Amino acid sequence: MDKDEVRSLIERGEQGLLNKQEEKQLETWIETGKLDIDDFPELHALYQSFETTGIPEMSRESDRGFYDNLTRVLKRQKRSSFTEILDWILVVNKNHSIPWAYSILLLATGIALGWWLKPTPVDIEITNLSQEVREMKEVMMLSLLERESTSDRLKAVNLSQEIPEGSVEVIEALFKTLNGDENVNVRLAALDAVALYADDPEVRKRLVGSIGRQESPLMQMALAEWMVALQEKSSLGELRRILKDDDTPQEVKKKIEESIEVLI
Amino acid sequence: MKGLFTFTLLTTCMIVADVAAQDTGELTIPLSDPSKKGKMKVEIRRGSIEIEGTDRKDVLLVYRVIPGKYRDKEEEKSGLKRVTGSSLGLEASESDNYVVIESGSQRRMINLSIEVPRNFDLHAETYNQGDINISNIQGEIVTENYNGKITTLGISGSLVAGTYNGDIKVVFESVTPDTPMAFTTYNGDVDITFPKETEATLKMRSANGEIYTGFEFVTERNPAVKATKGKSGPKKIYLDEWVRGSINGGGPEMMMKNYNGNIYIRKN
Repeated sequence: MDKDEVRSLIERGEQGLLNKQEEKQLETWIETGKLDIDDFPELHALYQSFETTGIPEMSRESDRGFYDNLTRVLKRQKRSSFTEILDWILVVNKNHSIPWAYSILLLATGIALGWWLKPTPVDIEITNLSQEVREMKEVMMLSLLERESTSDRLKAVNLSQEIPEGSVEVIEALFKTLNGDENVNVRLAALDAVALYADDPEVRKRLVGSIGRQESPLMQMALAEWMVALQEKSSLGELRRILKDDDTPQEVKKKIEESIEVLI
Repeated sequence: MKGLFTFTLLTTCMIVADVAAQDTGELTIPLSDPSKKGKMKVEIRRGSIEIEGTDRKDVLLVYRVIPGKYRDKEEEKSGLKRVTGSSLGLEASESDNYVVIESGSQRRMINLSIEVPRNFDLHAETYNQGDINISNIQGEIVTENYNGKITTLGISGSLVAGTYNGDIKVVFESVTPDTPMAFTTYNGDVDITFPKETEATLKMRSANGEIYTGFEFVTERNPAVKATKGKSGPKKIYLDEWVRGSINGGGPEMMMKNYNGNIYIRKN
């Protein structure tokens, strides 16, 4: 690429004297980045003038024009925002109002960027909605848990697992069920549900505390299994107490002994 | 026997039958509103419970005391015969279509055979020396046993069953949609037959046994250690050895768990 050749091409180009082949050549260079705005004296001057031009006072009319354009952009937001802005610049350019077109371009870029970064109303709606669903599930779970029907209480415990983040109320209700429900199956389900939060030291502590409250060997076994899974050494005392209990079936004692072996 | 009891026919009538002397007997318990669905709770400590759904509009209780070594120990003290209280402690009551049959006696073994209207909710519980047999019922059933089997056949509705020593065998005619169920035992098989169209999510664990199913069972990958950190809530931890999966696209959760025995999920 000979610089003199380029310059002459540009100069002739500015005078509109290029043939098709030369035009194409110039375009290719621009596209591939071999030429930039500084290589075009006229454009360069224009570019310079952008920086020196003051931002004009917004008149009521231009103000309205701006808002008209903005409304149009917003209305058509489904279209690509980028092409939208390009269209807009073209519209503004047709009116030969390049100096404030520049400021509008800046504004529009800002708005567009803001628009992209800001959660869209749909996003906000979904967030709100999922929050509402979460709260609804929580309320439903807490009320079902109070029901007399065993199936309802089981449903409540299962529902708690659909709530992505356990609230204090949910965990509290699950512990109440784990320690106090009359049905062993509901207590078993509550154990598996609340043990999901065993990352919390307080939950672990309460799980250990629950061992002594369980008379059913099925529950004692299930808790011992969780203690092994969580490597909860603080449960050793409670587990040893089950071994000392005469009511504990022999096979359960054997399993608990195995659990203690693993934990030590 | 019937002469012993008087029933007041009020909308919420309450009867308490205190079955004293006889070792066998029967008792008819009317419902306050026979046109409405009723509910029954049966709870004993020793003995078996058999409940059958029939075309009747009331509840028929047949009881039989099984003579055992503990018998009469308390009744005859130093040659004196006890005259107060009930030796059996079997009580039956009804209030607002809710029938309660209870015996808190640890010593006496009693077998109950009960007929109820087919459309009935049941809660049946025993502890020792007896099985629980339920058949031909439409409703929500909860049963708990300790040393004994649980068998429920011809059930339309839902069931939650738990025992320690004994099989659980269940045959459903139909299941209540969106209703979770649970079946657990320590020593025994869990054998459940569901109608072929049943949609359910199964959560099963057989510690020393195998799991068999006649359904097209789609195993879900175990969320072995999956953690979702919430902003406000604590992190969830999954650490389990459950086999999870769905039949007919999934549905309410059905939990089956045992230690020594197999799990069978049959298709009807």
